Amino acid sequence: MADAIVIDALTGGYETNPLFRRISLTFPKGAFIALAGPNGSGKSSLLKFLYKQLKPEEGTIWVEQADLATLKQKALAQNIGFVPQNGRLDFSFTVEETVAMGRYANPQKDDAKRIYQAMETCSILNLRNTPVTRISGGELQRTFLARALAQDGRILLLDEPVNHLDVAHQRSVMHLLRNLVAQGYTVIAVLHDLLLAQAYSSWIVFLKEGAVAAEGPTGEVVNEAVLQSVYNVESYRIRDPYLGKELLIPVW
Amino acid sequence: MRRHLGWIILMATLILALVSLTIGSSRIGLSETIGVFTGRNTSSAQRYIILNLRLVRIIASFAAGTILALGGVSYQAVLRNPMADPFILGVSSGASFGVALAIYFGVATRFGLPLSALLGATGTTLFILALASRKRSSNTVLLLSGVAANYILSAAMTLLLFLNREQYQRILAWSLGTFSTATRNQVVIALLVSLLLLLFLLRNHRNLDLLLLDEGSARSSGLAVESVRYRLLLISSFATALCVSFFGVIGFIGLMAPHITRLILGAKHRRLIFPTALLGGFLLLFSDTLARVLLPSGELPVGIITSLLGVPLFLFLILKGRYRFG
Repeated sequence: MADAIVIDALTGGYETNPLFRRISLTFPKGAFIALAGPNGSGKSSLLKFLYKQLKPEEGTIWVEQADLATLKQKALAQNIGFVPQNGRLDFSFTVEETVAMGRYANPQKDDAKRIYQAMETCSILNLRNTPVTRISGGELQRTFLARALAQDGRILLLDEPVNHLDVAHQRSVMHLLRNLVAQGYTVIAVLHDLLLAQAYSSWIVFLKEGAVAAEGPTGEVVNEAVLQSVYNVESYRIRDPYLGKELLIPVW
Repeated sequence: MRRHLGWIILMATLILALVSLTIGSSRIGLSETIGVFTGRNTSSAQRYIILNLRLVRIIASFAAGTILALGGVSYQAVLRNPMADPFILGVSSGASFGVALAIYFGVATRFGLPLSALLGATGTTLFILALASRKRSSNTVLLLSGVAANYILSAAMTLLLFLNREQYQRILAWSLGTFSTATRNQVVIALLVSLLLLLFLLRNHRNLDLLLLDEGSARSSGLAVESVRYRLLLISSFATALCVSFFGVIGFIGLMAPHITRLILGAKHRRLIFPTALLGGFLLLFSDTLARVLLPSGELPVGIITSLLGVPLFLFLILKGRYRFG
């Protein structure tokens, strides 16, 4: 299987916090990838490198075999969509106008159709004429996801997509992401909730203090020893009858 | 109403302009005023008053209103803040300081006064932009630098006023804004700048939309955030600075006009820009007409009228709560 993104010896971070030192990672194509690790371990920052808000001091990032450094921002937008953590929009655009912003990098004649499809996928067609200042947090999250989908890239980055949603909305957004993976998208999501990560992701990366603590297929990587070393918590196994597999639960 | 808002404002502006032409210390009636334009009225005195005094002033206030409104649209998008306008980054305090300095050193001639205002305004804005760009250009850094610059320059201007009390009147009059001194050349330049700013913002309507997203979403959608932001800030600041240097500091138009049109048309800039420019022109022409007629003799500074109109409207908009602030 080809890789969607390859990070090769990335060094970089912030002026006051040189986060990563020569880290290397591969994100397999068509996988549901969870990015996990303690607060401040560099999960969101890693996403910032992928959409070029942060620039590497050293090292190369390959996106679908193209060198990210040579890719123009608009060209990158046609490969990668991003959904922010707690995305907000304080001006009264309608849902449809917000989704349409996803077409900025590559406007086409059939934009209206693509925007419609993105809204349909995210089940927000009924809200298309509602101002985003009047919809709920879950609906706004779907709107931002639809905006990213409208970019027509095959890679989606999400920074804690469900962390402020109730259980029902968490479930529906995670299902939606799983369906997108089934359609061939590569989803890379920062997830704090290890149960969600185990339930949905097929590949997981644990970051700790700017280094890769563990990476690989979720079923193999998530074990007692890794949780102990990454979070310093003990855990036990429990069989989930609905998923038909064992999940690791932290000891509270 | 939504689709025709631009035309409605344009018609209202034309009617207001006609009424405004007939108002003034020398009584010239409506039919005589129209006669000046149709060639029926041949009184050279009346022709001079209508064409060289009142019309110049009307066009000046309209053009200045469009520039201030467009500056507001641009700054609110770039700083992602519905309360922003170019004055936040020191355009007005810089211009006022420049004028106070020019008057203090006795170089406030007909040419020297606007030039010193322009230099003060653009110098301050450039300084703030340079300062903020060193710190990875966060909005908060920009805003705080602007607030700091405003305080320092206001203090410096007050000091100059204090040292130079006999010129107090002149500096105060300028800083409250007036169109009574508008010249033909200024009107031509203001109209041209207004048109160029309008075209520039219309060309950037998608960029303006995307700037209102969070930075990650805007960037990942393909927006070159820094360069677009600085280009918009520079050009809007320069246009506003030019307007301020001609006619003084006139507040609230840059806030009022975009807020009213956004309430009716929504936030999408392609729809918003043109009606907002027209509404800014209308509001300032209206304010200037009031400034001319409210006192039995003499006139009020127009900046006072715009503030008197602006503050209650603004409070209403905040309380009505279609916006989320902060």
